[in-house]
Amino acid sequence: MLAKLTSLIALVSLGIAVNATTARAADNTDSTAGKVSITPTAEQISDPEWIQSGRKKFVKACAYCHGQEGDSGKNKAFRERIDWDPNQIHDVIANGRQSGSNVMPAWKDSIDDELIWNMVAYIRSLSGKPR
Amino acid sequence: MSIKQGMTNRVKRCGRTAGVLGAVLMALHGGQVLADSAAPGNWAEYHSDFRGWRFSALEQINKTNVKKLKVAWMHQSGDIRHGLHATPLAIDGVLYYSGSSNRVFALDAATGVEIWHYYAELDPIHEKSIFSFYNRGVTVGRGKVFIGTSDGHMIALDQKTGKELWKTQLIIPKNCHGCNFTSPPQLAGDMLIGGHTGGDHAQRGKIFAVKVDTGEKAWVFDTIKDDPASWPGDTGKTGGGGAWLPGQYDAKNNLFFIGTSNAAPDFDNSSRPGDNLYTASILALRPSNGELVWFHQEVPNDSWDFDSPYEFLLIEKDGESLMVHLNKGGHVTVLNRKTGKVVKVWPMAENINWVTGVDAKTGALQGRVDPVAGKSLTFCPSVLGARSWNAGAYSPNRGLWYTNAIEACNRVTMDSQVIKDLAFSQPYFGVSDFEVTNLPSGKATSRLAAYDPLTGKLAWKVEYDLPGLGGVLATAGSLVFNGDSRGWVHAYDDKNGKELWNFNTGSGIRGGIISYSAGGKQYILVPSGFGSLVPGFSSILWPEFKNVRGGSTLIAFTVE
Repeated sequence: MLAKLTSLIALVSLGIAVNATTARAADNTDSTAGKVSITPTAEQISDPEWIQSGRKKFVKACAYCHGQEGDSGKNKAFRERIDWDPNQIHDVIANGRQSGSNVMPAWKDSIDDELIWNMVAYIRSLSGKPR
Repeated sequence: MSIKQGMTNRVKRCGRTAGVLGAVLMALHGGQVLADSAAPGNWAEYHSDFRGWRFSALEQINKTNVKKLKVAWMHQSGDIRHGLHATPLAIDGVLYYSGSSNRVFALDAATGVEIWHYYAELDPIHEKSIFSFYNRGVTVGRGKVFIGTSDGHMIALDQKTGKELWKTQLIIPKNCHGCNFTSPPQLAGDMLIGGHTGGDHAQRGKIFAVKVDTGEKAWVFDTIKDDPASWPGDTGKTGGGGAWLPGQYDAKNNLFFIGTSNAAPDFDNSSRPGDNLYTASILALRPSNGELVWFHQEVPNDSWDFDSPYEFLLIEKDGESLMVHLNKGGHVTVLNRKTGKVVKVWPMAENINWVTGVDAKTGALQGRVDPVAGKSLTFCPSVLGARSWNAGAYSPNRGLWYTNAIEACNRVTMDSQVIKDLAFSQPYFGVSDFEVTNLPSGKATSRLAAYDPLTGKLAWKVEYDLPGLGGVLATAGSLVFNGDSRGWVHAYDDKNGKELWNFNTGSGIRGGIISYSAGGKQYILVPSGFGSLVPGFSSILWPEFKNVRGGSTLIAFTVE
């Protein structure tokens, strides 16, 4: 995991632009915290180590509402999602979401951005795989 | 015409009985609030009165005319986040309630017209708590309306104007993983007493008392006992506890009863060897100084999230002052409430596998099966509990206790949890796998059921497709009202469970239904508004939960 993150930082420092779905980089500026979140590559999003790391955190932090594989919650099961934009997933985890009576808190101030991306990788790994 | 003058003769008959009781209660309590609560047309406390009955002595609405119930008025709180959890209060023709974001309202009980409102100014940090926006209502007494807030304050408002009188910060959410007050603190003589959330978090839960008239902090009871035998090393500092539902004040015995939350981490009890007092316990406290008069720990060294915060049903039987209490784990304990001595234990849940039984004379757990690190085990009931937190109702006329119930399980693989890795307000569960599941024998079920609370004998039950998550009402009109998760409110014959009336409120019920009298009429008041984490978590079992709309509406019904 640490090695992967080091690679990611190196990529950023070199100005290499990649995107998870188009192999082009993108910077998401977090206006609240002033931090910059770097969208990983598609390869990183599908990296088994990232997925496993993300699963571990997801089960401990998110299963209480979403179930450990995203079948619960108030919205469509994760497995029934297709073409789910990783940036959208990241945004919801980082900034939270309020819709009607449903409330999800923002986690960006207490979960490292890299780990949020690992969680995105786990969630993304479930999508498009209905039971 | 006064409210009492406007009562029907049938109500007056009830009123005489209640009036005598009221005089006794007023003498015992020496406070205005219980003089109010004794009036049959009022619903002056969270559970209608200190006994936890949720029973209305009114009978203008009864089995013969319940089909004529019509909507009289509605009131919207305007903030539907996590729905409407409150049990409103009705005192002398005025309703008091609060909704999400600690919005407090006083309404004309006959018309729903707003008299005043108060919107608490909350520290934005409260929105980072997983239990933010939860709010179960207000307490009224001594000319004040009291609330506990999502950001850790107790606040007193002027009962007539809604003007803030005092505000006391008791907990700092940023220091306790977002712990907060989700229930109204309760009056006990000159004290206002309440606890906070936190059984699922790495924090140390407490119960606070403040002076009613000034808000000055009077005492603090630490639900984590300062004893290395209970909490080795530093385990108590993150041992959970707290008390997230309202307590009840038994003035005759001068005892304040309150149930505590579970120990944390919820499922990893190997990390905190010991009995973990005073988590998952019933406490009898002396209101004046917080002295622990007696306690009964229902689940020592809990490893299933089976805390003890639910209501206390207080009943006199053969000269003995009893308490009936449901634990989330599915057993009902009957105790002598003066001493805490266990009288009987009976299983309400039909599927219990975390113990083989509970000693009926002592309450000791028998044959417990704890989670094991790295091993997937299924426990019944689940963390949802044998019932959610919403209280049942008791009819003294029938001698029956009416309560919702859930039969479901969860699959758990226990795992250690490094505290420093916890995000803010992240549950401190101690799991590597965790999912609510169906029963080993088949699909998860739910019901509204009527029991003899002292023996557990089942009188009748009505099966529900979705678990009922609202508070039940029983009335002297021989009726039981219960709201379901689709939003239908049902009236049943209290003798046999036959459905006599229903109405679709449009959003699921999570609050407590009450009855009161205003302008000579009896009303049934239904808080409608789905929300909270439970429906989402359990939607894997009941997918329809995904589609239940949120809301936050009080709906008053009456007959013409």
